[in-house]
Amino acid sequence: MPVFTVTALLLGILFSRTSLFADAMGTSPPALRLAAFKSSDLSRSAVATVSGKDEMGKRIFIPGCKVDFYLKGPGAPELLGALTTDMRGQARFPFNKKPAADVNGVTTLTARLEGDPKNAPVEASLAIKDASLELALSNQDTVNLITARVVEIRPDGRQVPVPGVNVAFNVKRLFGALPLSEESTVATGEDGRAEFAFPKGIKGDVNGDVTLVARVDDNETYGNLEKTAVARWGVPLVIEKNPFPRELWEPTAPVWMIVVFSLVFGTIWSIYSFVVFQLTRLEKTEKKVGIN
Amino acid sequence: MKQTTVGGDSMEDVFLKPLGGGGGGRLFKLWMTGLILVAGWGLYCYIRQLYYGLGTTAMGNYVSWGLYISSFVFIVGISHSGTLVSAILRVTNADWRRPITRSAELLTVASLMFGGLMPVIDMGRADRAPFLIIFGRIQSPLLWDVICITTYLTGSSLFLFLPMIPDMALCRDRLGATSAPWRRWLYRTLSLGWQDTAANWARLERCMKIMTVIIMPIAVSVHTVIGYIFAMTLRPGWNSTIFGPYFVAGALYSGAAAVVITMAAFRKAYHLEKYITLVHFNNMGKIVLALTIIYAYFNINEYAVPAYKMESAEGYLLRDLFSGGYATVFWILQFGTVMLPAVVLSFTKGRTPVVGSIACLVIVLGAWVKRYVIVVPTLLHPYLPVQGVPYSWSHYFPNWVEFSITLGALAGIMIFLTLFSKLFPIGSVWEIREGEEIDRRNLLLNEMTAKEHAQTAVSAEAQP
Repeated sequence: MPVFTVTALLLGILFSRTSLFADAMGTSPPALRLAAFKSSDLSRSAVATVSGKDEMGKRIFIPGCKVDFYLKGPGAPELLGALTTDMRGQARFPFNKKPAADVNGVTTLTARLEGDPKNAPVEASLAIKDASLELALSNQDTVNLITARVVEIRPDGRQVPVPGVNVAFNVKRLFGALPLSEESTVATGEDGRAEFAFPKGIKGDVNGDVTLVARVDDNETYGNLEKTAVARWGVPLVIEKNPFPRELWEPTAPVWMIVVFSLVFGTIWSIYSFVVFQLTRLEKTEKKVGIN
Repeated sequence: MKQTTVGGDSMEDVFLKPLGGGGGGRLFKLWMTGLILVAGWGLYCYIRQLYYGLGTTAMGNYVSWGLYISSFVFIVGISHSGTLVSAILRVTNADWRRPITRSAELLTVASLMFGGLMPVIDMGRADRAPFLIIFGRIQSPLLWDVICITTYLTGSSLFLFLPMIPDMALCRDRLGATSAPWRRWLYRTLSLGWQDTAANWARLERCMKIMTVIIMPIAVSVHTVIGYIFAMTLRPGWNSTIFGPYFVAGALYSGAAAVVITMAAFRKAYHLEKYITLVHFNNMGKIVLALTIIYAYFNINEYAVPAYKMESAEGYLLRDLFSGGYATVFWILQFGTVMLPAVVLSFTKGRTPVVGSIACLVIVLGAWVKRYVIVVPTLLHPYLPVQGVPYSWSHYFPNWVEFSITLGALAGIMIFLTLFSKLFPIGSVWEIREGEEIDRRNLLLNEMTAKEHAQTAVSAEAQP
């Protein structure tokens, strides 16, 4: 009996770790995260990210979840719309115009995920103020300077500089934004400005142009802000002449190959044409001559 | 037009009889019904594949070339038959070839037509086929293959048509009065106004000599290039310098065997025993035997050289072939479909219509399976080991869709052969007649020479 009990206990522990039985016990509720973005072209969006954990405890993003977006005002929350998360577990809700704010200039957004009917709906809220990130480019004593300025836009339209906001300075590359250095995040001063010296030796395009990207990431008050600017501060890219322009592996074939193919198949098809031409010359006007 | 009479019916009667347009007997109707059903089912499966995509087949990430490409190589290999019988035997003045040249050339054209469809079927998105030309890279063996097969098909079609012209004139003149209007139009059009004049014969002979010479290197190039499609890759099992000649040898060997089957079939169906004789089976049997030995030699080289080294990925592949999952098929192919038919054909009794046809059928089926064994195992042994993938990805066997479409294509070939034999004489009547005239003259010449020798001997004896 003790052996049977221990075996049953061990089996129970074993099966409880498998997904087959874990599902019967119920999955852990997914996590919902809400972030606000204001891009360089002043477009605004709210991004809800739904994630969970798989059987191995690894965090994964969950596609196909319906997320409702609400704007919280003085009265009941106003439903702005609903979106389904994409393959990255994100639902991006764009704002055609600036969302309404209260007297203090605070916009409160809520995202709600119904999820599993057995669990309570998951909500995430965000209270942000409107802000603007500006970039100015200058040159002082052969040093190229990027000056970012963060201002809060009050309900009455005034722009108030914001100190203590971390601004990350990057350069745009093919697959994303590359930090300009290991210490390229600078906090704004009392005047809302953060300055950064553009390092020498950064490669640009063929003209030497680089796209500078300044970002405020995940600020508690202002959300995510981004501003870009193009400057001719990079090292011009020199495209080396291809030493093997015509090879088997290049888009253009070697000349000898084209010549040989053309000669060979040109000859063959010319012969076909000659034969067909000969057939068109068959006529029936001459004296009949049998095989005998 | 002088007629050759053998045992009652003239030769022209014998070869024109199937063209009677009477609809054929019960066996013919059964044969055609079966073929049309198979071809129709294959067509339906292809349309279904077009609609649902290549996911309906068993092919996948690793095995992206399966039954379709294996069958493509096999069917195009069969097409070497016409070149062998028509061109090579013509150049070597083998007069016995005359009754079988047309069926051999017909097999070439039919094989190329349907074999050339297989890569398009394998593409899935057939609408992208023109991109191979529009955005083609001349460095690609795939484009070489398209160019070579198109060139060979055109040349073979010309080569089939040229000797048909005098026979089209025969049909026009002999069958014109009794045939349906569409047949009369067909024979009149295809005869190109042929009249039995010296100038026409001279023109025809010149064209045939040109085509005879040019078709041989084209045929060799087609099968060489098909071998290059595999050999120009770096895959174990394909990265071999002898694939070009290996595939040519394989094509000749399977093509010659297919000629034997075809001539046996037409001989039986249309009672051509007096024209396709035991001599033809004996001679073709010897040719198939010689080609089998050459093919076996290439086969040994193909496996012995990498097997001596058993280098990494090649080693895994060869172990799978020699003693693994493909061992049974591999050794049956080597002994059952190469060695055994060679042994059978070594004997005179093995080169008869029935036994020879069976041996050649085994060769042809073996050639088809051999192409599969060349294509698929290599794809299942890439340099990066197959791991962490679903079972179906690491194992391949064609499913019902692939079999249906492939059998549909093969049925298409047989429909083409059958319909052709009902529309046009399956033997080259004028060439057979020419051969008989040559034999008669040679016989006469020999008799006259013998008489002269006898008279000379008598005169010598009479002198004191």
